[in-house]
Formats: sequence, structure tokens, C-alpha cells
Amino acid sequence: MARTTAFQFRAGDSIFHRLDPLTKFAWVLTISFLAFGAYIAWVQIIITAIVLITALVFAKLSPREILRGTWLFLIACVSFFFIQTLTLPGSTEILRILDKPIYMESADYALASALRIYTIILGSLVFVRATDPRELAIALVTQMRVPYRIAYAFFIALRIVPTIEEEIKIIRSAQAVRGVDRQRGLMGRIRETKRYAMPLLVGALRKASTMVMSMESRGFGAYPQRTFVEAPQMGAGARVLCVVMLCCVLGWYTALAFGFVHSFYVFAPS
Amino acid sequence: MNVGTLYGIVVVIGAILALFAYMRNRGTGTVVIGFTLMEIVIMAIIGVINGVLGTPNAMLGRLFMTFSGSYGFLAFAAICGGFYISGPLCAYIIRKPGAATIAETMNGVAQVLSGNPNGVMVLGAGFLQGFMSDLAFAFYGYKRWTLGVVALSGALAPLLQQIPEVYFFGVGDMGLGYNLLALAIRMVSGAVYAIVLVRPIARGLAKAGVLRGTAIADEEGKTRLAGQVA
Repeated sequence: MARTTAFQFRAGDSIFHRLDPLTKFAWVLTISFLAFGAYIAWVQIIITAIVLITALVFAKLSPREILRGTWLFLIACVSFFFIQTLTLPGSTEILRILDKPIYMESADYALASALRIYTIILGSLVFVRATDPRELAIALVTQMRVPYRIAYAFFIALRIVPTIEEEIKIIRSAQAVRGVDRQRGLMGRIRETKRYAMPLLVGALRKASTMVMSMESRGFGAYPQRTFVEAPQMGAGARVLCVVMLCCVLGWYTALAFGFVHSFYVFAPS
Repeated sequence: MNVGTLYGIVVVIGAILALFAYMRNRGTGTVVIGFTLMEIVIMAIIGVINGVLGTPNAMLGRLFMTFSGSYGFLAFAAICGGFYISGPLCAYIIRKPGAATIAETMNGVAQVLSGNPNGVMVLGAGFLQGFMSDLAFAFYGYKRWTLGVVALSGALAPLLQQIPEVYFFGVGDMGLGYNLLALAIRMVSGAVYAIVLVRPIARGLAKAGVLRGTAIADEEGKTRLAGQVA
């Protein structure tokens, strides 16, 4: 059985799955706005905890699934944390490692910075795993008034994304059969990417072209409007959630703007 | 002059360029042109694939920022051209107003969905870089498709897009010279990436026969009929 991509929709019956796609998208945007507006560790810890609880409890993702989808980013974030803690300047020394001082400010900033990246990636994973791209396209048309041809084109593109990994394997095998060897090292990987990019793009466009022909032959795009048998609706609870999220973002940025919360940057000279 | 004034001037320049592009195309009836379904799908596919591939690029950017300290934002600027490709590429293939803007906006959505560490910022950034890329072609009434115009399209992409990044990455405090240098590096990077990648990719796709019904496919067909090598 082919291995499926972690960043791919899986049907489910969790609370998060049942939410309408636009509320879920608003949730991703809220997490992103809040995470980007804070360079303080304790704030990022709270945001990360909220996203983790959403992933584990409300979206019913298992810790294994979360790790599978984010392990590479997790390693990068842990590396960022250690590198920044060891290299950034600060004034309050908390400990020494191999005679190198570790400062409170740099550790705080490094933790906030690493958690911010991880939170945003985890938020995206939760959204993608719990949102049917087709429902998202329909919600864009019915609720956001996006022209349906654009929404469906985006849906086609999203459907092709999970197949990219599999396509790369096929291209790699096809090139190996023709005697093209796999390359090692960073430069080798970059050259490999160049070699895969064109066949990948051609394959994706060829598939899309077939889909477009099929859709047009069935009269898709013949009318300016389109109706749907089952369109996702934003319920009262979801509306309240959206208002709460909007208030959180506005409140947080107002607090930042008026200096109620101190947002500092270690890199910037004071 | 402080950094705030600098970006105020940048916004004014952007607005003047947009107004100039609008005036240039006002009488030609090319301000809004409908896209065929295939054209919309091409914009979506290129935007989304560039967006998904942009996420590892963004992680590389974070790595640069981490290792290079205060110079990280400048190092990141050097690879930013990779994010701007889908706009000039789609505009070059489709040759209609708005192609770059739509492609880059879809690129932004795809980056958010694929876990770009820069989060929601890439949504706004995508729209802004696509809009500015479009302006380069609009200056010539969507009639000139030379390498110079493609390079201009890549170079203009970061003009307004850098502003939200400056806020979110907090580099506004790094001084005027630093911010100007970052903008200059991004513009050069955008132009270089556009020069190196846009035409070869577009021609390659047209030759592969997957761009049926687009302007570049027509041009490719005429070139073949005339027995010339593109």
C-alpha cells in the first residue's frame, strides 16, 4: 500500500472535522496572527498548548500522527532553540555551558521563536487533516462569494498536492531506469530538485488538463452561478467562535500597540 | 529619514506605479479580461506547487536567520526570488491582466496550508508580490514579453511585500541602510530568479504540450509552423 502524505485530508467524526471549513481557516489565521504577535516564551507556550489540545482532543489526531507530520520541523525547531540560545546576546546570565554564558533573554526569545514556528506548522497540519478540500472550495463559493471556477481550480490544485510525493518517486524510478544516479549532499539535492521540477510540473498540468476537458465536456462553467446539493453552513456556535477569535487577535494587537504587553526583539539594538 | 518614512515612500511609489499602469491600460479595454478554465487551473497548479515547494525554502530562510544573527534577514532576502516565480511565470504563460496576482495569491494560500513557518503573513505577501509583478507587464500594455520585462516583474514583486515582513520579523529597528539593502537584495534576487527560470520553464511546458489554449502555446505553435527554434 502506498504511504500517504501527512499533510492530507482524512475523513473523521471529531468536533474539529464537523466545523465548517471557513471557521477552521479562521482558526488557522488566528493562531498565526497570535503566534506572530508574540516574542515572549510564556505566551507561545500557551498558544502551543491550545493548538496541541485542539489537535489531540478536538481533531482526534494521535501523537504518532502529529509526530509523523511534523518531526522534520520539530528537529529544525529544537535546533533553532539551541543555536539561538547559545548565540544570541543577553544581560541576565542564568547558567554556563562549557564556560559559555547562557542568558535569560536569549533563552526566552529562542524558546518563543522555536515554538512559534512549530505552532504554525502544527496548526496547518490540523487544518489540512480535518478539512475536505472540496468542502473548502464550496464554502469559498457559497460563503465568501469567490467565483466558482476559481474555487474549483484551486480545489483541483489541492487535490494534486498530496500526489506530489508519489509522483517524485515515479520520476526518480524512471530516471534511475535510464541510468541517472541519485545525488548526495546539499548541492546534489538542489540539482535533483531541478531535475524533478519539470517532469513534476508537466505531470500535474497534464492531469489537470484532462480534468478540465472532462469538466468542460459536462458543461462546467456554462453558467455564471452554480448551486450545490450540500453546502457547508456556518452555525451559531461557529459564528460565536469566529467573533471570539477576532476579539482575541484585535485585543492582543491593541495590547501590543499600547504597550500593555511588552514585545521585544533581541536582535534589535535598544 | 527613519524606516517608517522609508516604507511610507515605498507605499507611495507602489501606488504611483499602480496608477500609472492603470492609466496605461485604461483605454485598451485590458484592465479586466476573463480567464478560461484551463488558464485558471494553470495559475492554481503553478501557484500551489510553488507554494508547497516554498515551505522548505522558508525553512531554509529560517535557518539563515538563525545562523546569521542580525544579518539573517539579508541572507534570507537572497533566496526570496524563489517565492516570486509563480507570478511572472503565470503572467508570461497566460499574458492576461491579473494572472500574476491570482497565481501568487493561490501560492500564499498553499503556503499557509502546507505549514509555512511564516504563517498568515504569506497570504498578504502573496497578493502584494503578485500585484506588483503584474504591474511590470501592465506598463507595456501586456504586449511586451521580453526578458527585460520578465526581470522587471520579478524585481518589482518584493516592493510592497517586504513591508509586512519588516513588521513581523521586527527588523524595522535595524536602521535605514539595513532595510534599504534588504529591499535591494530582494529585488535583485527576484530579477535573477525570473531571468533564469521563467522563460525556460514556460517554453519547456509549452513544448511538452500541457499549456493548450494559452498565449504561449499559440506562440510556440506559430514558431514551430515557421520552422524556427524558440
